[in-house]
Amino acid sequence: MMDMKLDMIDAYIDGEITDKSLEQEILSKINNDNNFAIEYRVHSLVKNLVKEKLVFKQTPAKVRAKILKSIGSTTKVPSQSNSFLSDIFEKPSFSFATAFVVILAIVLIIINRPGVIENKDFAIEQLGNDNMFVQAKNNFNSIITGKLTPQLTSKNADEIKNFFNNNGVKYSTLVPSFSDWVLVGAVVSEDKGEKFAHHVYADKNGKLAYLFQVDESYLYNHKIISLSDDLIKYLDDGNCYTYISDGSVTLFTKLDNNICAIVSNGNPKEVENTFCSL
Amino acid sequence: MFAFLFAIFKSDEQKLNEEFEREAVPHMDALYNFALKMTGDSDDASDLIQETYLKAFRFWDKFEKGTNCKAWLFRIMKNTYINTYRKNTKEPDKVDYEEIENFYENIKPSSTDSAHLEKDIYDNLLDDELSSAISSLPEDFRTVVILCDIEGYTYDEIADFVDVPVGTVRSRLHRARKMLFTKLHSYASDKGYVTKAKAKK
Repeated sequence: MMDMKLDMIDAYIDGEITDKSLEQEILSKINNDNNFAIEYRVHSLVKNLVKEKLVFKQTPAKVRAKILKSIGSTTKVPSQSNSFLSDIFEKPSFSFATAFVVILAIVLIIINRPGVIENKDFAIEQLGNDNMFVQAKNNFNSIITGKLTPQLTSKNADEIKNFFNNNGVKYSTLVPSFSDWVLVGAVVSEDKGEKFAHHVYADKNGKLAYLFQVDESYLYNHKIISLSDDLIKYLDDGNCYTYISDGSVTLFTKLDNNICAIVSNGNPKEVENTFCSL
Repeated sequence: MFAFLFAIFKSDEQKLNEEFEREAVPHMDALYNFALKMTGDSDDASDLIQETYLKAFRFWDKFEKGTNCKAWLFRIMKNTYINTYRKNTKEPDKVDYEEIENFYENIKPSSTDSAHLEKDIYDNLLDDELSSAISSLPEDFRTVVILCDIEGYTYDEIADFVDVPVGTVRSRLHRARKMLFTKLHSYASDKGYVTKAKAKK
């Protein structure tokens, strides 16, 4: 048997060996040569970890929307279109009509352009059981009345992230730490086959803050959880929304690609100062 | 006349848009993940994917219909990354492969029933730690791992993509996996999942 390079093990693991006799030769090496056997196990382990553990991230909805918008509105279209357009404009009979259409289109776009969203009361727009605002409020009420208890009790942010990861949450989660709020525990919920991350903090007075986070793509694509477009845009612009009612404060903010709902029975100002500055 | 004009404009541009959306847009998530792993930063990845799609749309007439659209998009992204982002992205420190090889040989289990080879040990590692281990690989090695283990490309496709012989792809993958194992072993050791490797005497 000729000396075989160890990198043939990788080709074998990746299903790249098409020659049957070579495949047998590699298999025999793995079965009879300790060095090859270890190499096979190590490299298979690494490949499987990369394949299984890496969370496939969806393109952020904002980026996707920007790309689609650019594609739809770009003036730089492929060359055959350009020559067609220039042909049209060169014809005097069409030039006035074309100019008129362009001006009309611009005027219509200006008239119909959506206005800047003001800090309005977004809470009244949030309706239905699939609404994130409604779900966050209901979940918090269940927590403080003891109907919902953490599936994991932990003060460790890494342990909570790990818990989310191992229990099927497909998006990247954030578990920030604060000096005045300690982590209490976490819950992974399931809705229409998708898993969602929730965790809870407590302050020194026993007040609770509950954080429910969802990758923004779920609000655009999955149609499992909803939130009004105005509020999403408000958060996309970097704002934090605060709503106070019934002795609790509800905040909405965006962390990386995650939309976060925070509901707390703590002091609204302190809660806002802590969670809106994330 | 206006209606006729609109109809011509619409059919021509709309046809291109629809074709592009049907062929190219479905690969956006795969490209975003590649961008994320190449740049190691979500803002840079967002910029890179936007630039890639705009370029792809601009040159859509150059795309040979019936060929692999995903590979074509990846190629545009790779060139955009090389031309625009690579010089701005902080490259991992130069790797002394000999040092890694020594370390690897040191931590490599001596038998196949060693605890180091239990997948359960590494299952506790987070996605972030795995991503960071991949990001720490030199670019050539990072690219082959992403294309092979995440995107599922064959060696021939990777060779075509990175413009090297198939043998080089194989040897880069071999080295990349060794480097990844040393990284993951370090993370697992730091967390106490495996006992720390002793320094090589």
